[in-house]
Amino acid sequence: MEKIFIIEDDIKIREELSLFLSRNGYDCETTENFKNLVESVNNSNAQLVLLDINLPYVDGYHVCKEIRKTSDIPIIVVTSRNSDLDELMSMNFGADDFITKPYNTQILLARIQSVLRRTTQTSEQLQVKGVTLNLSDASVSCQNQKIEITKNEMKILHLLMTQVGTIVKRDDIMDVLWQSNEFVDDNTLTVNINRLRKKLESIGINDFLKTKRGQGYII
Amino acid sequence: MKLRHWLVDKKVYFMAHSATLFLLMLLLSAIGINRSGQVFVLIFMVLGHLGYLSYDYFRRFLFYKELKEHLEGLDKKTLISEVIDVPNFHEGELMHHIISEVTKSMNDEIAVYKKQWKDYRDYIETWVHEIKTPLAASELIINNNSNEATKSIHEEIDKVEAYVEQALFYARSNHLEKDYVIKAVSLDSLVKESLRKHSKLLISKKCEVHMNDIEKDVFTDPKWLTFILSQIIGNSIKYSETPMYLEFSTRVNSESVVLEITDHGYGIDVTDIGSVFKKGFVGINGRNEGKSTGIGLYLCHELCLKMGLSLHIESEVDKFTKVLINFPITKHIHL
Repeated sequence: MEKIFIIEDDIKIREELSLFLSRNGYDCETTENFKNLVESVNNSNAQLVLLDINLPYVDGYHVCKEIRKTSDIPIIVVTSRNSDLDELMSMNFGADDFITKPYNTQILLARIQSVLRRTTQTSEQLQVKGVTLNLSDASVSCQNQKIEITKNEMKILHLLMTQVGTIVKRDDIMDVLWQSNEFVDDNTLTVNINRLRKKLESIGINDFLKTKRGQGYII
Repeated sequence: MKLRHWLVDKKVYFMAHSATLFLLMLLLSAIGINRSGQVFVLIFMVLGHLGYLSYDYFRRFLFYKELKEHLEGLDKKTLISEVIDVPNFHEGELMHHIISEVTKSMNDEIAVYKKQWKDYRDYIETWVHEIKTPLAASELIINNNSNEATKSIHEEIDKVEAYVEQALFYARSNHLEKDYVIKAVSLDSLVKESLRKHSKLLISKKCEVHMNDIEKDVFTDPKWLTFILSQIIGNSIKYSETPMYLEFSTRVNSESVVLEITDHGYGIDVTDIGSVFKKGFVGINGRNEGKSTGIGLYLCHELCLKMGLSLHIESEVDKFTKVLINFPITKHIHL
């Protein structure tokens, strides 16, 4: 499990962000001591830092620069100021990505995933009930059988497989697709889901994706 | 200063002077000076006087002429005291002094307002950034407690965000300095970004999105244009039935790229369409929906003007509304 170090002075955001990220499969560490941030980050063994720029005692850019002096840990800067200058400053001080508040949580998650994917060699696989989703080559495999799926189908499956046991609403699936620039409507989603089911069935996976009428889908 | 006006102005003086001359003639004849002597004195007096009067007239004439010309030529009239010379007659000096004093006082006052406006604008900017923290917190709380109620709150939070954004751009639009950067950007990416911003409302309104041929580069400020597009999409959402329809397409001619944003919503009444860009205008739709502020399109129009783009709107009631943004194609845009 990858560990994320959250540097954020707003208590509510800190707590809710930890909760949100831990529910999405990350280990989180936070701190209330903003004076020895670099030390805390180095001692945490985290794989990624989420850094808010507006901090008490110190300037976030300074923290970013200080962390960079001793460590290559990926840093995603979070700020409420969305000027070009802020973005430029973050990049100059060695941040890996830049995201503005208020962030769409799905986008935040996607950014974290993509930064982590770039920087760590994690196995890009997800396994649920004997079904394996390979993110690297967009395929699904089950008992030595393998089938390629489309980008959209992969997104849908990924979302459902990371929330096993919970009903995922159609609107939420669509929102995830919209956030990656696939502006699908209701009918298209139905078509996508049906195609995905057929593909799964063709390699012997039946009833993996269940419909909850009027509510959504569940694995 | 016209000669005629000046003469009228001096009429009492001329009358008094004529009376004096007349009395002088009487006096001269009474003490026995002959007619030619009298005429000589008369001509001498009149010529001398005329000489002085023309000198007096011309120095005034020149001063006021200069003053008037400068005043007409000046873009900012309050700078007048800086450009005129102090004249060599007392009234003129007084006038010059008064103008300088008045101007200075006016400029001081303007400076006060400018500062107040800047402070206010800075405050709005800071406020907008501060409000984003509780908004971000709310969004996370909603995400961590997902149910029908919080989902509905989420939609409302998205609206709050849109209004906050509007306030920020309103403050920026009135600013005297340019705080935008015009560069070549892809329309496609900006349209998509704006759609993503409104994803929740669009999805809940079962929106069908079409994009035709929008992979075009245009010159604009990306943040400003994204804001404008968001406002337009926001309007379509407000004034459309579920399921709604949105289409983005471009037309290219030799002078410009035109982005067309079409919805199949309520449309705009003929009597309203001429006024949609006016500040505070709330048309039939706005009144029916009861949530129009009359700021959105006005702001879009202002921002477009500033960036050298033009904004048009076409509509037919119950059929469609089409917003057209015209991006001039020119290699030498004035930045």
